[in-house]
Amino acid sequence: MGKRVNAYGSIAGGKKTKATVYIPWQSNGMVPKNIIDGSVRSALVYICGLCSSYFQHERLPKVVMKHQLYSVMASRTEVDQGISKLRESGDIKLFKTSLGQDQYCVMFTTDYIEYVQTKFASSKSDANNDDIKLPAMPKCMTKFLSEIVHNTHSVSIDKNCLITENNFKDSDITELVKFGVLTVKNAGSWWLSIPNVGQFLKHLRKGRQGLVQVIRRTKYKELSCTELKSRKAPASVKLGVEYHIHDLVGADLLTCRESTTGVLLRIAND
Amino acid sequence: MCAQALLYGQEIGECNPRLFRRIITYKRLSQLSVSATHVKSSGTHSITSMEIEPMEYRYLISTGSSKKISIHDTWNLYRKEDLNSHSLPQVACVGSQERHKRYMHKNTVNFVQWYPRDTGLFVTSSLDGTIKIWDTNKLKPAETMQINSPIYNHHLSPTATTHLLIAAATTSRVRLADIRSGSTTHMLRGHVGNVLCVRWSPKDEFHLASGSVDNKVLMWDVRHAKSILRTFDQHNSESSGDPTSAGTAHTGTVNSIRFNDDGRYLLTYGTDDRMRLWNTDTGENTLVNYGRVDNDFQHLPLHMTIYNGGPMSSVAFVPAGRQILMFDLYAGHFLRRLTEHLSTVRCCELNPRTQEFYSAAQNSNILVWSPDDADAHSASDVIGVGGDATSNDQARQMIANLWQDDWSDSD
Repeated sequence: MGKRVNAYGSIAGGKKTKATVYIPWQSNGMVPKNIIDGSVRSALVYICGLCSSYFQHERLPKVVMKHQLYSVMASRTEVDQGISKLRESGDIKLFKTSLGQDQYCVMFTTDYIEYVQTKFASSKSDANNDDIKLPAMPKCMTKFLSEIVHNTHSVSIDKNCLITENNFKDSDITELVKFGVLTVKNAGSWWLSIPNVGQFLKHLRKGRQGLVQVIRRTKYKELSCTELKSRKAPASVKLGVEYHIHDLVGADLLTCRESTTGVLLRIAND
Repeated sequence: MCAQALLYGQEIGECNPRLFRRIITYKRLSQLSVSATHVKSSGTHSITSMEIEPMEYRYLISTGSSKKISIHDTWNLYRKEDLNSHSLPQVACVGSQERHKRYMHKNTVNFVQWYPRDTGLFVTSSLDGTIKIWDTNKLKPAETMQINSPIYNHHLSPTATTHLLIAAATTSRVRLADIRSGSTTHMLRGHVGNVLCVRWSPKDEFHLASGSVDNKVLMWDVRHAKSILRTFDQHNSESSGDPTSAGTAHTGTVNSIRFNDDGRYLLTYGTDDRMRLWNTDTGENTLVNYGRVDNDFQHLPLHMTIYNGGPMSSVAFVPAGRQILMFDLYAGHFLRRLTEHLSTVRCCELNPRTQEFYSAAQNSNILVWSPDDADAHSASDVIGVGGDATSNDQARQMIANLWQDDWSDSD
């Protein structure tokens, strides 16, 4: 039998080709082609790379929002399934946020452990150089990092797992909640979380509002992507304009349209 | 590839005949547009459910808050030669005569289903707590079963041979009513809120899926005492196989559930604006992402429909507010948007033989969508004869006639 490539494609009006529905970044080269056609992990690494220097400066965690990947990759189903596989293998960790439904923070496990460790004084103490006095890492935290973080792959954790399987005591759990790695979900179960993620979320939210304001002030509520990048970023946008563009497009707050001058970003009407 | 090349390919054996058929039907589905044929509506009642009989795909039965049940013939063989009437002929209506009032339901009829083997019977259930099994020829209920709580949905298994159970979704229970013995005492307990939708699996005749206001979708086996087989958990957590886990299928009420034709996948739709596809054997979420599908109807059972075409050509038709959205079932791509209704769409139904699509909303209009172009009929059409010609075509003909003058050419 001859070629069976996409028998339905031309008949159905070409709606089944990969790059139609969502994001036309290929045309203007904002996202390199090998990332779009590549795996979910490479897309994650790409967006981590978009994190601006502000992240380093303020010691924010290198977080990627899951919906940013929807903007980078062609098919959302592929993103979801890829994230699920990476999570099962322990490569990344997913955290639920208070921003809304389906808005998950993704971090590489190694990055997460490194970040949590920066919150505590290291053994070769350079606490003299810092103005902030970092507390020493408690034992329960080391146990948490070595056992729970590596072994559990879900977003939440419940009492059975902590107390019976890993011998955590109630006081240990209270300490973990105090340091920010666990957040209470309901009696007896906790969400895994990132310490000081609130600051990151605050900057994300302010940045979103700032960029959306810039587009809203235009006459037709739309702006081309290159124009947006060339303008001076408003003061509230600290995490990087490209980072925010992917965030807004993936969360369906902006819609993309291809035009002869490039990609136009438009406020999504709800 | 145009249709002629495909046809030739099929003749010489290069194109598989089933693939050929699927390509043509898929193409027709992607060309659906509202046809001039419609169903005459009377009044402002909403239509809650429709079904086309699964034997010949000819008779469409519909019912709603007017408590009337009407049966229309979709083949429309004897078309009256009248420009204005493009409506499907109504074959029968329960509620048109005074004597029907004695047997009709006392409250909104929420679901109607033909008996899966033939059109001699149909089953309706209503908010007044009764299930009525009607004899189609006499238009009288042969049996009325009392379940003293409002019924939101019911289903008769299309593939079962050993049992004739009607599963009825009521306030926090699924009740099983047996047609053979008339008993309605079997209850399936497990939901906490109103159960809005219930469906028998086409694969296992004793397995049932139900979705409810408490965000859960449960899978039941009616033969066991502890009937819950599994609960579907959207996060696929480790305890997702465990029936008593707290995992929820959606973050909002589950309005509609449908199995695909082989019963291996279950599509669910909820008020968290998401649709999810589940693997029924393992209970895992296949994570197919359909995007955001707006849904604001917390307590209404809605009815989706699926065209089962094959791994690349299955289409799910989902009512979302005033629109009906078409999605590729297994990949999640958005295909088309059908916007013609003026009020919330409650139910939709597809005729898989002729690829005609019927949709009904809350203002008692049933719209017929057909993939046929006007041009397909123009060769045989003479002006004045009805048919599927759209109003544009007729208008063009009429205007062309206006410009013709009465003088003969032979002078």
